[in-house]
Amino acid sequence: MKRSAVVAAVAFTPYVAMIGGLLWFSGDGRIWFLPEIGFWILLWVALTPVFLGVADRIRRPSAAETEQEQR
Amino acid sequence: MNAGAVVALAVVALAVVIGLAARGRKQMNLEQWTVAGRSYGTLLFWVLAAGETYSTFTYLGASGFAYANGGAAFYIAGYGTCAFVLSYFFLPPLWRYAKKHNLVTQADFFTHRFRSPWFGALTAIVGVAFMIPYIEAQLLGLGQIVETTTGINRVTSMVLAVVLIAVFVYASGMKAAAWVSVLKDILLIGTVLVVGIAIPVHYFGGFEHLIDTVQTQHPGFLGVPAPGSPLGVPWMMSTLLVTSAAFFMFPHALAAMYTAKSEQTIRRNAIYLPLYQILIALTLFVGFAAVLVVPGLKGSATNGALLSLTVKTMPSWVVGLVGGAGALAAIVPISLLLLQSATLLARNVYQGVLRPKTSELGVFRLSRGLVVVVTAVALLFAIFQPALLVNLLLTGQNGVSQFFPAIVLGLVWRRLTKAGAATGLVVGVAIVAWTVLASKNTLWGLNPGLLAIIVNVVLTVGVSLATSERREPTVRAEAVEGVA
Repeated sequence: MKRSAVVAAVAFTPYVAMIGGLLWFSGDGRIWFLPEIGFWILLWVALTPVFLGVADRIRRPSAAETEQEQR
Repeated sequence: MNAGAVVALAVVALAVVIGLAARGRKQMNLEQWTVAGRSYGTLLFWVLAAGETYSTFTYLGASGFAYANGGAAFYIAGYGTCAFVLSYFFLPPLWRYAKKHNLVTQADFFTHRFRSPWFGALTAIVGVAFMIPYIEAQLLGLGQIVETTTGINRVTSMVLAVVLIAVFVYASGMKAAAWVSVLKDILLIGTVLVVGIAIPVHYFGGFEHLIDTVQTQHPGFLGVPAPGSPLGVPWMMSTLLVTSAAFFMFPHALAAMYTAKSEQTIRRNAIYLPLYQILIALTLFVGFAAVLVVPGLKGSATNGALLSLTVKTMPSWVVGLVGGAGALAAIVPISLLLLQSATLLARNVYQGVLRPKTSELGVFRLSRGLVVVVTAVALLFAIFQPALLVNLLLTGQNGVSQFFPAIVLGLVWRRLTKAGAATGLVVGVAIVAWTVLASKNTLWGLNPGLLAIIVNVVLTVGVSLATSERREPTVRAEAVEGVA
């Protein structure tokens, strides 16, 4: 798979999960100390930097690859 | 004068000193004044992006929406995060394009990409039409915050604020907004943490008991209404899609992105900025607490939920800090709105189509002069006709999302034509305006902005395919490179 496709798949995971998951996490229940919708949205808010950070690492070629490309 | 008022005035005075000192020793020209010479690294760019994004809505609208609508308010914590995911992909190539062609406004992109000063002028006028009510809304919010927290009359505080803003924007431009944002963010983060944690703890012993009590006394309030009800799950999903697309489409928000030093600065901010959204969630809990502590607020009075509880609960110096931070939460976005409104009119309307031979220095001087004019217009509306621009403001929030297809497709699709982009934009904005004027808050349970974007995209693509000129390979090649 192309690197850019992997980057997009990783980066868009929180976007798709947060919006799509509302179909299941929108009732009046509670998860931990939060209303379930609050838990679901805040979970993905907190995870977004992780997913974007990983996507960013994948996007940037490693130093070795850069060196190889330059040669 | 009470202690709260003294503290709030001291905060604003410090902001003015910072704003004037921000100019530095560099020779001021249009690029320095509007986009700070594209020089900001990760930290200052993060502060500026947060500064223009988190406005008086943080203190007023977010907690008020939670008070009035319960669990549906959590979309407020989510849409910015979705916007940062989108921005990770489309802002870096846009920044590269803007740097290469010396673009300083959103309308510059349309002028350059479609080789059409008239299209640029059209988007500039639409952008300014959406920004003036936004300035007015921030001014009204500032008046409410300052009056509630300090007792200073709201008209007096609005007049004082705009005079100060006009002075430091005239002198220092974008740099003033960025450096005042540093102070604003420190105060905003501090006060929201204190108020957002202290109020639930003070009245309920913690968040868990607060949520328990709300669920017991108001069953169903913290869930999302069933599909078919206003603000149900389809509304929430479609609102997240629309508002995340609109997030960077206000001209002042997009121009703030041009201040970044590099593409990687923008990507890093897309990674870190979602953390700010957790802070916003605290204000939602204050809104839920207010449902139990100050019940019975109706209509626009719900926007005062957080402030009412703050005044009722906190010592006066903390209330003063909230007042000062609330004032800065208006001052920073207003600075950027004024800066961009004036530059759009001077560069994209006056120089773009009326007097094309005007020099860059002439545009710079005219932009500075127009800051005073736009300030005066917005202030007069805010004082004498506060309700007149409400429809335009409501239209603006969904209306700016209609720029999204033309900008994103403009970066990645060679065959996008001026006719396609203009048709999609005009019809999209018309649909949004119709839904606002007809008071249709939802269409088939969905946010009407989503329907407008879908029609916009279909028309943009369809008309472009029908009118494709196949003559802009250079634009496409430089724009597409490295989008992902």
